[in-house]
Amino acid sequence: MKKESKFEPKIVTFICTRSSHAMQKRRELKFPDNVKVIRIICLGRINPSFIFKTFERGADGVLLIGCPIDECQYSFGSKLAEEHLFTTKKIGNLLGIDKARLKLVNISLTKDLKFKSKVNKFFRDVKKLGPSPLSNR
Amino acid sequence: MNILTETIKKTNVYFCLDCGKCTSICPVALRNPEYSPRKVINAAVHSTPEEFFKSELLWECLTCKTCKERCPSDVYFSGFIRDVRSAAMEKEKKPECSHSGTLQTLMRIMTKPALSQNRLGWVTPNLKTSKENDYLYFVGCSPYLDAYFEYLDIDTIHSSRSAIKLLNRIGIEPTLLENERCCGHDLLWTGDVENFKKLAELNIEEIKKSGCKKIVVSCPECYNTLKVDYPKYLGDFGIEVIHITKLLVENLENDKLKFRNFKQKIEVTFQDPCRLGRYSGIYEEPRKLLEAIGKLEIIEMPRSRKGSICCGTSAWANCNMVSKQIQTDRLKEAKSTDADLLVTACSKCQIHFKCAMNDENTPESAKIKNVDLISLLADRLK
Ligand code: SF4
Ligand code: SF4
Repeated sequence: MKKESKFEPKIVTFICTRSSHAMQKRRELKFPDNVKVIRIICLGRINPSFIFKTFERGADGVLLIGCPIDECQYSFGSKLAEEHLFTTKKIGNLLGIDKARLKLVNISLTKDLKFKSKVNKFFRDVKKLGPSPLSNR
Repeated sequence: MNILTETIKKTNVYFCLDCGKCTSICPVALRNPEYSPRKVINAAVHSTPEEFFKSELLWECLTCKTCKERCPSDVYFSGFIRDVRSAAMEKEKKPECSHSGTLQTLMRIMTKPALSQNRLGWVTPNLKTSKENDYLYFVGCSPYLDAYFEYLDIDTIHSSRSAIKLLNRIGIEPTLLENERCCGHDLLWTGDVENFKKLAELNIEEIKKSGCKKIVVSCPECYNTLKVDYPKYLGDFGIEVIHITKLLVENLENDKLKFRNFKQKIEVTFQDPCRLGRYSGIYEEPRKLLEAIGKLEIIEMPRSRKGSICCGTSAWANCNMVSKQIQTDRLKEAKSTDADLLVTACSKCQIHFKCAMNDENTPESAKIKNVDLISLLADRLK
């Protein structure tokens, strides 16, 4: 039990440029040290390869942060990300990766989407799950 | 002796007569004037390993083995390519992987010992399988391919279900492995021998644990890998590996296997997969099975059996314009037979052809309905 409470999951976050500005503007949470943030131009840039590579390299959780579909500045980016996420989840399920280890959270400049609580819940869930079976730990 | 010289010796490359027969038949050379197996051989013999391993030409070959069929000097060029790729990989030279490398990443994920998959969700109650049986059915990557290539409307799961249906019909209720891993074919042929071996060891361990005496395989690549490469790289593991078509043909004569006739005459043409044909010598079995369906006639493409042309990409690496041209050429050849259907026996051939046909630039003369052999057979069971 003791070991579990000390466990600090390795989390990788892919965040789009616009969402990253939104986070700063709204003074949303600061990421803890165990979260590695990778900024990409738009969440539409991700594909299953990004996510699986991250798990392969030892992440315990992968968080995607992007704009709601109707606010994406590339218009198709967020939708594309959701499609990729759908395929990734299906394959992730085959691989036995717990679905709580991978989450997409939207942030908006104009609407309150409960961003902070969703992200914190994700962090808690991953911590509860313990090390990923793919993490070699 | 350096690794390059050693590989050259092992694969008869020194015996090259520089006759060019390989170049005249190689599908890549036909479309890419920069490439020729003979040229690669020359470069290998005349350059230092450091120079040679840097060459992009190393990754162009489809390893389809067509050149070996023609070579008067028995040069095993695709074997040479496989081995030099692994040497190049050790020097951090890597192929360009298609689909952003997703499929290779999945394979490497499967080398993790703690992996615990949910890969058998597709086994419906009508399919009879057993916890323990003399026969084990090695499924291959169909659940993963089905999920990844959904947009191409392929149905690799249907093919796996069909294989079990056919096995059930001949009285076999096979064991399936809950944690079967990728056979490692694509890693081996793109030079990642280390991870190939990890996968092979994990699979052999699970296979042995199952207590089976024979392994039935429908995927041509898994078949060749389990039958030839596992023993080659890890030693004989003592269990017979059989291709499903061989087993089915044996059962054609007794009453166990009968197919419903087509109502109207149908003509089909058959794509010999490289790993089933040239690598394993299985040419007749798929044809005998197709001919067992009444009112079905096989029309051969001009280039078939040993001379069959590869589907244009292999091991999810180096898919490029040349691949597309090879695919379009081959599809046109299939269409020119006037057959109603192109029957494929490898899910990758199917994926590559469907992808080519999805391309808006592909002309109608290269579009033909495509079905999987095992699915077709199971769908016609009496
Ligand atoms: S066919 Fe054989 S002998 Fe002739 S050039 Fe090619 S590899 Fe050399
Ligand atoms: S194996 Fe196939 S692609 Fe490679 S050189 Fe020989 S004929 Fe060409």
